[in-house]
Amino acid sequence: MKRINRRTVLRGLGAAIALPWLEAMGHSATDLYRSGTAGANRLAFMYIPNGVIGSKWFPDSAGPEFEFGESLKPLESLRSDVTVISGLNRTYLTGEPHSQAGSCWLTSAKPNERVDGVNAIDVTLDQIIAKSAGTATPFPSIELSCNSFIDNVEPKIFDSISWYGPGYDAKSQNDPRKVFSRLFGETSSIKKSILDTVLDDANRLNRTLGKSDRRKMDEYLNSVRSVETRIAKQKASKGSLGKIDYQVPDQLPKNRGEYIRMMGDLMVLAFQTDQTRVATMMVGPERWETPQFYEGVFDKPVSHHVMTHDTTEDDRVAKIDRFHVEQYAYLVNKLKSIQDGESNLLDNCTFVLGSGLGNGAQHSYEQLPIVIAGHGNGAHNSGTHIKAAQGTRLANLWLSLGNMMGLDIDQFADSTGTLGGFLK
Amino acid sequence: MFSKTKLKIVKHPSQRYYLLAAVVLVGVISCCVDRGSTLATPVRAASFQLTGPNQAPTKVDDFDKIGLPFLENYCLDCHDGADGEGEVDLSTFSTTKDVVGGLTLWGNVLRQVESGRMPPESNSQPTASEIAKLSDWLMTAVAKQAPDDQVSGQIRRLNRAEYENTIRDLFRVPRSCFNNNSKIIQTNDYYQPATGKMPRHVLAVSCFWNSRERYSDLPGVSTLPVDPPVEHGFANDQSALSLSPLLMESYLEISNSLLNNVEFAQLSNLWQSLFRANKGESKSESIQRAGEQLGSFLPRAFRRRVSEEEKVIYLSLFESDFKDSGSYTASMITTVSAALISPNFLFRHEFLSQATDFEERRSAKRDLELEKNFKMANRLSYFLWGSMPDDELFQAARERRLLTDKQLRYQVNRMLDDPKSKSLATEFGMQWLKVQDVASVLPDKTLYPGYYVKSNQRPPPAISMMIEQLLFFESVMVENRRITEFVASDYAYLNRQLMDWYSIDPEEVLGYSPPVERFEDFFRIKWPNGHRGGVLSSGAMLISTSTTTRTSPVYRGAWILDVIYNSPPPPAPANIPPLEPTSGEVSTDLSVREKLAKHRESEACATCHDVIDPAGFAFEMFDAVGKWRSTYSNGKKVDSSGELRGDAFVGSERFKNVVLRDKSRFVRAFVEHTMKYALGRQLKFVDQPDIRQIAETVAEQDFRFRTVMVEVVLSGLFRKHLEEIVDNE
Repeated sequence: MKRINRRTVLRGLGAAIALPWLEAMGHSATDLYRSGTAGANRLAFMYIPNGVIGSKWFPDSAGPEFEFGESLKPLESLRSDVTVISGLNRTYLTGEPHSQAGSCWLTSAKPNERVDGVNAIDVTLDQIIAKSAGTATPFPSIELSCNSFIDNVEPKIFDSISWYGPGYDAKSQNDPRKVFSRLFGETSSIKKSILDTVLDDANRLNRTLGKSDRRKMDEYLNSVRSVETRIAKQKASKGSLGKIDYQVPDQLPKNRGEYIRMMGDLMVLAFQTDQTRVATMMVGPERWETPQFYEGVFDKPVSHHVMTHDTTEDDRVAKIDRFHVEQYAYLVNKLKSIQDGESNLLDNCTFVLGSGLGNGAQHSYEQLPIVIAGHGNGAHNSGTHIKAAQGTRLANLWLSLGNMMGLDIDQFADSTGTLGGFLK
Repeated sequence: MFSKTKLKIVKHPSQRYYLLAAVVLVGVISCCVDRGSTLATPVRAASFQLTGPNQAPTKVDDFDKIGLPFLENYCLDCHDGADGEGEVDLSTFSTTKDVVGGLTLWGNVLRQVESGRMPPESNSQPTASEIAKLSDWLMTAVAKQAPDDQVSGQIRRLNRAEYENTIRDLFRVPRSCFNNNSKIIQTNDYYQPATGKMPRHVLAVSCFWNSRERYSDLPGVSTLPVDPPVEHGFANDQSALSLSPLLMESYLEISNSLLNNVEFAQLSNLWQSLFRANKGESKSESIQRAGEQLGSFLPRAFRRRVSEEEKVIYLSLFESDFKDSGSYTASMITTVSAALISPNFLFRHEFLSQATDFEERRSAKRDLELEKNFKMANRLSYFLWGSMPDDELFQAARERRLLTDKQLRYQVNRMLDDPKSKSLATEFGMQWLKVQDVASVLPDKTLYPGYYVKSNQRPPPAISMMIEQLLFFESVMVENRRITEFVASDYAYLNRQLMDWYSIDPEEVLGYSPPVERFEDFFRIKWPNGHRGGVLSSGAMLISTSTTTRTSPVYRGAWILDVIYNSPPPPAPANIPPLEPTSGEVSTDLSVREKLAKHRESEACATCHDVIDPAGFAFEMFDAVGKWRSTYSNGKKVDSSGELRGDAFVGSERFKNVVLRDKSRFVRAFVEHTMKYALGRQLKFVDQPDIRQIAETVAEQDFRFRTVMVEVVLSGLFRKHLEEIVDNE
């Protein structure tokens, strides 16, 4: 059986520091932008915290004739571009349910493994795919969050769906201006000699450290290494990057929809310019209580999480669900409108929308909401509602996506097989 | 069920040891203190039973005399056998050896019993002396545990605050160099701890107010991403501090933008000597001077002795860069930039050094005594200052003077007298009191119309409440007051806005009325009555534990359990049963208390909420924005009564009296919080003997704030692992 050797992923990065400097210099700008772009498959995950109201979300009937529920209505005009999946479950490991829902959504660990001591957090699907699919682009992956951090109240296990390994979160960016300048701004003029020196110093230090401390040093070495690679690739690709048509905002957006669309636009832009092929975007952290203004839905700021735990608020919660789907639909339309080689970006994209909780009020790990837009280069069965058999694991879908993105594995986390009916 | 196999220590290839048992105990209490929960329980007598003074120590061999009778009398009725309640089986223990092997579970047993959550109220209850006996017996059992099981601690990177402070002190800059919008107060002039007195009047402007980006320390210098907070812990917790590529990019940008910043060059008292080119200096003279500069800079940057070999790494960088550029300044900036992203700078490594290679260690001829001294200097300075050691600490370390009790006492007092101790208030204090939660409150505009003022004229009350909390904490700290004042005190710092908000007549407490627009002026006032005073009834606590439309006794109760007792209720599990939706007719007309009671369906909820809710109800006289009230908006009278295991109370004042009737639980919790911060990690049961010892000493010495800090530093926990441990793979 081929499985991901999760523990070697991070190790491998640390060890890679011995590789020759600027290996990416071998790529010419043409490599990166011509041959790479057209038809390359992109993968994106958009995460909604706190579950959804299932009765307004899931269609009744399976197959291509399904009816869009109230919450999914905004996708109706995109029927042939989306796949709605119901019936997927996860196994809950005794502990805090919200943090586990998000941090273990994409985890490669089996749910009964307390890999980091508390949760089954290990390297996530997006990061595994980024290791292979991301080698051609300056950024193997990008991580975005629409958490304005005004209060910064949620610990990282509530605020990260993307992980390099146990305890090692792929820190997301939340400020659209900083995302833009990271993607397209001046490439840092960091000298090779500086990095060489610190790697020399770090290797020296590493020899004096014990096992557990070396794990921390792996994080360090991985970070230095990825900065090094990124800068080299960005420099190499600079010339081919045309004028970017994007208005950088003056300040952080105040309203939810505005914020989500702005971050989403940047994700689309990163795909369009082939800065990356793998992205995750959190609408907000799990359990987030900071009141938010959902423009056009309520006239006052409300707390999504507080509302989900009051069953008298179900109708209002469903409105937030629909609001999130509207933002998603906006991004799907945007992808569709962008030319990519012979087709458009949406054709060459797999864009997943979902949550790690089914019903938020009950902290349910069953009936997880999943919608997939795009066609994955023609790989998806689009325009249908897949009703998975009872007890089907979410990891089955992740295995399918992994295979589609080129991972040669036949198990992912606790998967029992691929998800029937999704891939052609 | 809870079998011995679950207690097995699991050794994971990439981790150290984790006891699976810890997590299983969560199942003891199925409850609904999810932070968004509106689930309810009846108000039954809650349980704040406290242990009495410690009895004479007993032997661990006394399982049959102490452990077993306790289990038989109070536990085994439910937690017996594989189908024990909450998947906890306490019947598997029959010898002291078993207990030593299952200490994590026993730690939880003790916590449940001491906090009064177990046994359930309907069952017969252990006496205070029985609990104390159990506790003492377990403390001696801890001592029997194999030392290897106690190993913890790793290298960890500096968190954002530590990084910023370290840069400030390394380059000898008189103030912060970074735009840090999370500072509650911008100005520090009022903070003069050496005087032992806080001023009666403080001019305080918050960075939170108006625009998040208004305040700028050094224009053009980039900032670090915010570190995530830690649930029931502090932002210096080793588990939270990962180093992402994004963060590495920020470090690189900072070195670049900071070292080349003109204003920084002027502010830094080190810049000239470190970076300035000397005219007429020959190349070799320059290189020699660079070597000397690095010889004094690197040990400060790495906060320890630096070997010749290490120095050469950086000097070679300088030399080769200098050969190319010909500019002393540019090459030195390059070299220092490298040092600032070295793991030797970015990481703290004074917790535990494990050498895998014995030979290498021996051949290195290391001066371990000296290393211990430097580690202690770092532990002290990051605990009390959130920054690097100063020259005096370095000197004491070099002279190997830093390990005696006398010297440590002296240093703690000296360091608390230094203005740098402010970080103990802004980091430890404010994180302990969850003040960050206040920043995002948005009370409902219709229900609390007075809350919002016309933009840019005044900050909303919540911002002033954060300042109120900080100044209060600082006054306990600076004036070395009793830590019990955190629970109840007769003074506070308020501005005119808060006086009005709290219905305090300025004429009465100040003798005059400051103009409303002077919101930056905070005055020390004596509370005219006992309603407020202390952190429990502070505006910051009251407003941050409310939703946009109402108070939440559940949040308030959970806040109290966490902050005051370091006993946060466990989270609600997954797949909780759906609650009956309240029908429209009842939901609007009931008080919060009635709503909560109405929701009570499940006994499982009651186990936890019996402990949580009464504490929260004590503060019902304060509304969701922290104002005093006697009726709800529906006209019904506010009921703030409750009962803590036989002690009936009405309102916050009585509640605080009940808390202070036996101070030991609060004192121990405060020591635990302090220790978590001092060590940068979560505590384990094996840490308890030290904790309890410190708490006793604090109680004997009149509960003074400084006593806590001194005793924490003198404790075995704080001094643990100064030596090296050989980590056999």
